[in-house]
Amino acid sequence: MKGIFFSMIVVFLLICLLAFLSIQRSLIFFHSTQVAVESRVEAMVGFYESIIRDSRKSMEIIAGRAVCSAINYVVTTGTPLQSSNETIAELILQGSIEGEAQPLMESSTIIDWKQMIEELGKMQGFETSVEIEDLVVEPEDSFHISISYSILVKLYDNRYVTANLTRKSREKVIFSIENMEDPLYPLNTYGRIVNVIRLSPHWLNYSKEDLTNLKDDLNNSYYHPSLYGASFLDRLEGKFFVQSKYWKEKPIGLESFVNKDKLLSAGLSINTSATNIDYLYFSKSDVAAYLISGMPTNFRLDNETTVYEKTHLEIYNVTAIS
Amino acid sequence: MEMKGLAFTTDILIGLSLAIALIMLIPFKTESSYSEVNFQALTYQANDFVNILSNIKANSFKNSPTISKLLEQGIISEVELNKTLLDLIGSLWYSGNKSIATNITREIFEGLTEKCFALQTQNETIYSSCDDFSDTVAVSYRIESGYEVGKPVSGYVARAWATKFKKNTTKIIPFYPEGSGWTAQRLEVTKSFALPQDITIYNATLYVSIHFGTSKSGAQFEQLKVNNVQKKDDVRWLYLQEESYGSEVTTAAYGVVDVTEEIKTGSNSIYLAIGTPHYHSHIHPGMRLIVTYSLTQESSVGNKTFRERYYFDDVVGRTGAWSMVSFYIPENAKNASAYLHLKAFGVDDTRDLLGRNSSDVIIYFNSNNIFYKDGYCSSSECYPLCTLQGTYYRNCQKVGVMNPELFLNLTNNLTFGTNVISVYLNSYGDIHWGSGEARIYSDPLNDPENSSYVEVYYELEESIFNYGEIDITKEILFGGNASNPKNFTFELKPSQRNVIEAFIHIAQSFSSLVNVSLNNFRIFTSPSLRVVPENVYAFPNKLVLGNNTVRIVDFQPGGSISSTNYILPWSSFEYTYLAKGLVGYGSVFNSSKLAIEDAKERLLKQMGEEGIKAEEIQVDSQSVQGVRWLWGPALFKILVWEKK
Repeated sequence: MKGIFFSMIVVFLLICLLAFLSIQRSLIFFHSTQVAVESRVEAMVGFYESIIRDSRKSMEIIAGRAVCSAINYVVTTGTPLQSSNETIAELILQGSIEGEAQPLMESSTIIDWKQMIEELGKMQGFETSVEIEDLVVEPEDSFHISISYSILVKLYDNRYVTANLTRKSREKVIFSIENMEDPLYPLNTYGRIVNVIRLSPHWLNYSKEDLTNLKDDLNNSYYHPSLYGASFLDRLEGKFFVQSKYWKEKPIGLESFVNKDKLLSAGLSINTSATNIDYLYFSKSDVAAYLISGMPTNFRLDNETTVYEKTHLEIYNVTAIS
Repeated sequence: MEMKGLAFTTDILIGLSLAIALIMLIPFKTESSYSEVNFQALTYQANDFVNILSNIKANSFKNSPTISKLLEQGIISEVELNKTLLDLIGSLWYSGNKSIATNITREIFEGLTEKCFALQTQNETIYSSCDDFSDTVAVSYRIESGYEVGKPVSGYVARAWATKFKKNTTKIIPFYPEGSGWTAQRLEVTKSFALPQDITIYNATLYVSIHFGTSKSGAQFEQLKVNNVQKKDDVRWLYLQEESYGSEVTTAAYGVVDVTEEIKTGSNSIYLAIGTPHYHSHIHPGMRLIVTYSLTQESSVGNKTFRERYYFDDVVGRTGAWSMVSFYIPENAKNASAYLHLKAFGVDDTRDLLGRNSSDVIIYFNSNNIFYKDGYCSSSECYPLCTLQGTYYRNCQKVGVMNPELFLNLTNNLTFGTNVISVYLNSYGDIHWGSGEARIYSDPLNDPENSSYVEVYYELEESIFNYGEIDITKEILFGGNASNPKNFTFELKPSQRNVIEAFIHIAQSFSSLVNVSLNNFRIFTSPSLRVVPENVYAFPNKLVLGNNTVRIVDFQPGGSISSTNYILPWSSFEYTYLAKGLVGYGSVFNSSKLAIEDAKERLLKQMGEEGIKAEEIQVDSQSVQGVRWLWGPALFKILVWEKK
């Protein structure tokens, strides 16, 4: 009896063992399936993130070409833009200015990028739809413009697992305008003078005793932040001052010293008694301008307010002699 | 019995131990056989690697051997360290620096994992840590726009503009219809004008259109001096038309003479002396000097205000003197004004039969009605009531000689398009030609203020040309046969779409009244008899690209088409159009030099189409760096697998 009892115990234990094994195999199989689904969903999420990340990079590339096209239009036709932020947006989205296709935007619009992404999505096994909406171009600061946009991405996978992902996000790209042409110069010099926007390497480093930095800024017409001087977008519109539509709490304007000798050598008449601050010089503003000790005789500086609640005489740390 | 129980118990315990050991062993063995789980681990690692590449800035690895060396050598700048690692590796790889990209990748991942991994893009391996793949490979990827095999990541664009250029242009200096010499008395006309100093004259052709002589032999074609060089014998007569009215035989002649050698920069003068034994000698429409020259010009902006003087020729008539000067007001002109300054000498002051002061100075302006007269007129034709002596002369009482000087405001009678002012001194058409010498004085080069002229002023809302645009003037001869009416068709090419000024120069033998139409739009009708201006303003807004047609009809006062008043083939169409002297940004190039060369080439080609040669253009240019391509997107893959 004892033998039978022990044998039954052994059989029972073996049955338990087999049941355990069977359950464990099922669990592992289920887990493996889960891993496969997770991997696919992770791939989908990864692809989505890749699209968002690449949209920012592509927007930066496209914005560069759009800004170049906008400058090109202004400096070759001599006609300022009506609304530069809207024109840049049109260039980014459609590659045109007032419906006229711009060569530099060929195959470089957001629509081209969107089509390529949708194609690539298909290759990865995702039905992909990308929409860019509410694109806004505005000044970020004196040397940058910002491009913000909403991007709606829809991904759908029914090849391996049935899954879809729909997300909308607001993205922002900051684009540097350094090394771009300032349209205000050609517009006001019959196209004879070109000036490239470069932040002065001496900004806020001017000495009363040593005028080397100030002279270097004058010779190279380097740019400085300005409170009222036209921002890059204003300059594309041929405006001399920051317009209310672009105004921000922080300074977004630009100013440079007009090199009057350069104007003279281009056969242009100059106003020797006018301030050299570009937006005031070109706008023929009636502001008092002072001869500056140690600077060339045709150099003048006004005492208008600029950034950091300082005047031009203060920020450039100079002494007016008349 | 106790021993048996112990033995069974011991068996069971051993069995259970074995079973438990088996249970503990089996799951491990079973789990490791499911590759999905292993794959998941590899995937996590691949994702981590991709995140490292696409999130961490290159700046974090600036001390790695390759990046620090690149910085030292100036191959990359500090600015480029703001790129993500993936962007930096991608830029280097796609710009052809493959080994550098490989080294950077190796240095980033070296020692980070014991597993095998590889970075690939577009089926090319940037770096692989193992040679052989295993059966299970986890892949994570990132899409990156801006890359394509064999294509540069970024480049340069450039634009160019002409700061100075030499252009070939044409200047047409018209002689106005004017007279007069009667019955062998001499008519002398002196045209004084200035050409710019800094030009090179290629050709100067003088077309002569006169009414002279009694036969085709050209009797009384006395003088034609160009800057004091006698050219009368060099005139090649292109067209001679002799007409006779009873005993009066007279000839209209149209000829041409090359005066390239004689015309020079600066001041010039052309002196003409003609007569006709039995009739009235004068200049017919179509006499003009055409000078083709090259001019060095700087790019500039067109004016918005215009003030121009149209000087009369100096006319010394010996049976009175007359001249009709034409000028134009553009159709879009604002605040237009004009006045006449007339300075004359030797004008007979006469009285008619009733002792009234006859009109010895008569001026018409854009009308058949007299605009100004200095005395009594018996009719609208204003001939004096004096006894007839011969056919064309009335014997009036001469009471003196006048040297009249007039300033007349013409503003209220201005018209858009062609305006014609006709000045008659002791001249009344075929009713009465004066007897003595009269002179319309003009010496614009030496005595401009005292000369006779019409001064015109007007404003335009916009400059006729903007910066970067150059104006080019061309002339096309009508050609064909002398006829009335005469149609002339010409083509405007797309590059000539921006015509700012155009004129029709009418060349005629005999003339009466003319209608001139451009593309069926009437642009001029003679306001009074013989008012056929040398210059008829052709409204540019009536011109079209492609074919355009000019039609000129000479007609009689009654309206019928004149049977013998032909329009000659040497009539011409002169037009001035704007061509761009600059080109914008072009394609993206790998270097600033290439971009600038391309811009200059495009500019030279564009200007070359307008007849401006490459060596005659001074070019300035501007390039912009860092214009990136929207290539791709490229797919970057990180592959991770177990070592074999």
